[in-house]
Amino acid sequence: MATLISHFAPHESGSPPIRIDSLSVRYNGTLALDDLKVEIPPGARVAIVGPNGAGKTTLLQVIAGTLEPSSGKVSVFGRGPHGHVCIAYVPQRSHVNWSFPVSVQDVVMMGRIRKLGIFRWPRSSDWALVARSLEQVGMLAYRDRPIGELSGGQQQRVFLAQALAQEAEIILLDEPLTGLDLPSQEAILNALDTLHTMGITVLIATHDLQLAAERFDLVMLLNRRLISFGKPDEALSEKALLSAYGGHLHVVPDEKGSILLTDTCCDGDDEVRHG
Amino acid sequence: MGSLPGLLLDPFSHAFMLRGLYAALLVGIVCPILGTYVVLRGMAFFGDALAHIILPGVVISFLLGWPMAVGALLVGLLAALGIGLISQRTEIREDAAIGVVFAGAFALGVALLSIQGSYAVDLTHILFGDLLGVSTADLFLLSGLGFAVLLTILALYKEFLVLSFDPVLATTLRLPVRFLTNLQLVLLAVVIVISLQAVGVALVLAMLVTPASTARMLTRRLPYMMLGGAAIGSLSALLGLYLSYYGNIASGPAIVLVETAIFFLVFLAVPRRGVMRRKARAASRQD
Repeated sequence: MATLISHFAPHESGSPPIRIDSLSVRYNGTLALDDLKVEIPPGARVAIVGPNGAGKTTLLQVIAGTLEPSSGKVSVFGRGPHGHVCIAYVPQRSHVNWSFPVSVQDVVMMGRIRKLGIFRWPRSSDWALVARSLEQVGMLAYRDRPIGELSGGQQQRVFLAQALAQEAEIILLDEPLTGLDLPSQEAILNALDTLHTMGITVLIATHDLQLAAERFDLVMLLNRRLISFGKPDEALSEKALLSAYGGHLHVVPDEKGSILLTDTCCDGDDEVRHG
Repeated sequence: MGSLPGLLLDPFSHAFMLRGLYAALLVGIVCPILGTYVVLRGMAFFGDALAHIILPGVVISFLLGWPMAVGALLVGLLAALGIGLISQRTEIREDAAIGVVFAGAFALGVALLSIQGSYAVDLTHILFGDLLGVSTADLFLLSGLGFAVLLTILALYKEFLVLSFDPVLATTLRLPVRFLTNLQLVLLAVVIVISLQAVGVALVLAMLVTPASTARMLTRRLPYMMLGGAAIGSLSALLGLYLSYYGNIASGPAIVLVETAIFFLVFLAVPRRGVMRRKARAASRQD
């Protein structure tokens, strides 16, 4: 009960949105993340890339507070990850109960429940914020639709709107574009640009190196330990990529003379076939 | 044959029928509102098991001369939390843990009953309810528990909604997930105890699941599903009592039969929206 009514963790001014210090996570004796140290500047768009099993999802879960690290710590605006409601996390495989009789705007309003507080019902200002959030991701027309009737890309955008309604300052997205068609991908990327203009710090995990290089300010290359972190051209240097992917990466020159990077290691089956 | 108003009012000229009606309406309203979560979260087996698990508590109350609800509530709470503990602390899946506790507790209840004298009659009452045997004191206790459940569901509406719809969101929003989950189990135990006297151990599941499922076919919004379930539940209670009075049928089964009839009427009357919707979703998921 205490956590239902307690106050949220305050933010220390001047602290970065996310600081990761000597973070290690161990699953059944194997290291999923090994001694990670990194600091994310405010308002950055960060792509977390790396081969399968590199710990991308694990890292997001630790920052989201749904997974406890084995050692080290994560600070969010200067405080431990607990007690914050400024973080929104959209997992790759949603645990949502799709048969639930709720509309799109009900789902977006769920992001606001901690801001509303216990025993309080949404006011018209809350509904206005929900409508605005849906508009920002281009889903306002769907506000009364049952959530189960949406396509995958539309659902992703609704979860982005939910994060906006939560007034999240950090948004974590796990493979938000996987399995979507091109128009849906573009719609999500546009919505991410909107988040950027609002000063929200965005971290996405992706296996798409080209996307990471083209659409993000910073790239974190991960393979259990931190390989590189910085601007895309620095973080994705050939040396760093070889170190992260080893033999799984093909470096192919394209017609402009630059380097096209192809990740051949998307899931377990592919790994075996391309091996 | 009397006039229509006479036919409608006659049954409730008896005080025991009036008390029975009040208890049935209470159950008909409270059960579907919590039952909405039972249906949506796929907890029907858990609900049925919990209803049977309560049997030894009822028998112990009976033997010690306590109000039935007291022993039932104690055993129900213990079992609800115990099952959670077994599946959280061991490799045993929840349904198996439920099965172990379910069968063991029910066996204990029947064993206790068989030790003392009037085994057959009392077992029937416990299994299928004794709505017309509800005392005024019982009514006060049942009403208190019923209102407590409704108030809790209303007060924690948003929190229960998020917990049931998206447990990961509940965690990232820092809701006390474990506390809320256990609270839902406690509410379930309380509601089962309330229903016990009306429809008995064997039919409590119908009160929890049938009206809420009927309402699910008729609405796309959670609050309407709860209210619709409550409307169907209370209507079934009233019609069931008439059926019981004029058809000379045991009251608990009569109420459940009316609920089931309404379910199938709605199932046949409503176009197969569910099927269409699933097809539409499957098609749109292709992208």
